[in-house]
Amino acid sequence: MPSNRLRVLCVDDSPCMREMLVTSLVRLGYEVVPVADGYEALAALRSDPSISLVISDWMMPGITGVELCQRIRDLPRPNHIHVMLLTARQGQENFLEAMAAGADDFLNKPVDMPTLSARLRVAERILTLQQRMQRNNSLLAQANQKLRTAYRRLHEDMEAAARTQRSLLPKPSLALGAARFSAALTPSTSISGDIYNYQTLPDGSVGFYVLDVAGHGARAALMSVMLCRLLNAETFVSKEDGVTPRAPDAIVADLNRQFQSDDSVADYFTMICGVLSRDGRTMRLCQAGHPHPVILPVRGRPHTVGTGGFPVGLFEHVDYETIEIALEPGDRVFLYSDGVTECTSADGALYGEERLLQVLELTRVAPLDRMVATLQAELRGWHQRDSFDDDISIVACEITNPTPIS
Amino acid sequence: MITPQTIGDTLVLSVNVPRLDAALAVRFREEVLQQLTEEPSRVVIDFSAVTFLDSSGLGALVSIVKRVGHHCRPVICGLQPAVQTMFALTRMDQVFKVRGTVDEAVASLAE
Repeated sequence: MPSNRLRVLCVDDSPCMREMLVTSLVRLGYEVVPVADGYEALAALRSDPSISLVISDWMMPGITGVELCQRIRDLPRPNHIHVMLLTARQGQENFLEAMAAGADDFLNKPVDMPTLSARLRVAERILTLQQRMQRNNSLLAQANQKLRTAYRRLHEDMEAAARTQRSLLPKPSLALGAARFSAALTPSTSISGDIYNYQTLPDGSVGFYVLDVAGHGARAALMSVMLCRLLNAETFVSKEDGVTPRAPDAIVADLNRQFQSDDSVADYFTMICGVLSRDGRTMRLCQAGHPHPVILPVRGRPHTVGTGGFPVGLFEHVDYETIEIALEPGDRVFLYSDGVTECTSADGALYGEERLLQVLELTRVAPLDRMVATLQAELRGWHQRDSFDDDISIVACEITNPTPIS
Repeated sequence: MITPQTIGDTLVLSVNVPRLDAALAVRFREEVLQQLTEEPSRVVIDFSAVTFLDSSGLGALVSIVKRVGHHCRPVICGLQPAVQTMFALTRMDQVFKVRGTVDEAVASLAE
């Protein structure tokens, strides 16, 4: 007995044959819709979508069984309809043509019960498999839709976070104190673990930093946003008088005490923290695991300064140093994250410090903004893919005329 | 990604990936920690196959060393130029005991 009573459309022009078939099918437990020709069959299929199996005579007046197959396949039905054709004498009919027209199976007339029963079970098995596949497909489509919605929402959230993060950045080109600053941030995803800032301090000097949280993506970005909030003008000046700029190593050492990570995941960051004096003649820098700053003097070749330093948040009891650089108007200082030097080409080669120095030397005479833009373009050309593997941040500054002493 | 080998009473863990970066850092940490027991032991981590180490890879290495710090102090060896540069920049060469080759690292532990 079929488990869920299939509705079978039974097509035969001979009332006698039709009656015999109907009786057999009913006895086997099927619901039967008997019709006398192909036109009636098509009408029944159009009005009754629950029919999933058709047993049709081959030779009939009007539409033949083969033509009926063809027309059934052309019906706009989501489910497959299993079609069995009845053959009078095996071997005479064109089976290939019938199969091409869409016939699934063939039955010899007169039909004996055991064969009919077995063939119907095969048909049911196929129909059940098809139904299951269809159900799975629709589940997959639903799951896919859900994923797409979730992804879109996540993407929107990331975009919103990126806007918030960008709003924390200073203007990309800005005259501050005795210098002009120019900067650029290219995140690897929409949000970044790199962040930077430059701001004038109460005594007319300029406090600045570039910072790169290890890793990238949301976790690093959250930490960079928090650090950006924390590292305001107050951090840069003495607590006693609220005016005197602090030594950069003291600022970094404070951060290192605050940001000791537990040992399960080493959350840490590298940074350069600096103060440019009011007259633009002295820059004090603390390098905490961040790539070496490049000095581009008006006279002389570009060169790196600094001997490295511990990243912030990795080891508690370590010392930081401040280096002092003498500058004059026209000199440039160039700070960048490791996304620049570790930028890979298609064959995996790192961009490296040497190429960076060459580009900086070549663009030495260009305006500061131009120099930053050229390096960005150069890196895109080097990487040759749409998005970078790591965040890239660049801060450049050029000493302008000293602020007049009032 | 880790091939363990015992030389005398020293466990040598060779890292056999060319790029130890954010994509592999967590797995690297887990695989190394799996090899290290709670007993005091002599351990060498050999980086000679690693040509590139990024900040996440370094973070993983530091967290391994911190985790096992109370019973063993792994000796690092085989630093390739880019990794060497990274170690110098972040002063990890002052934090870790660094040697040139596996043999030198093993010998340094026997001292």
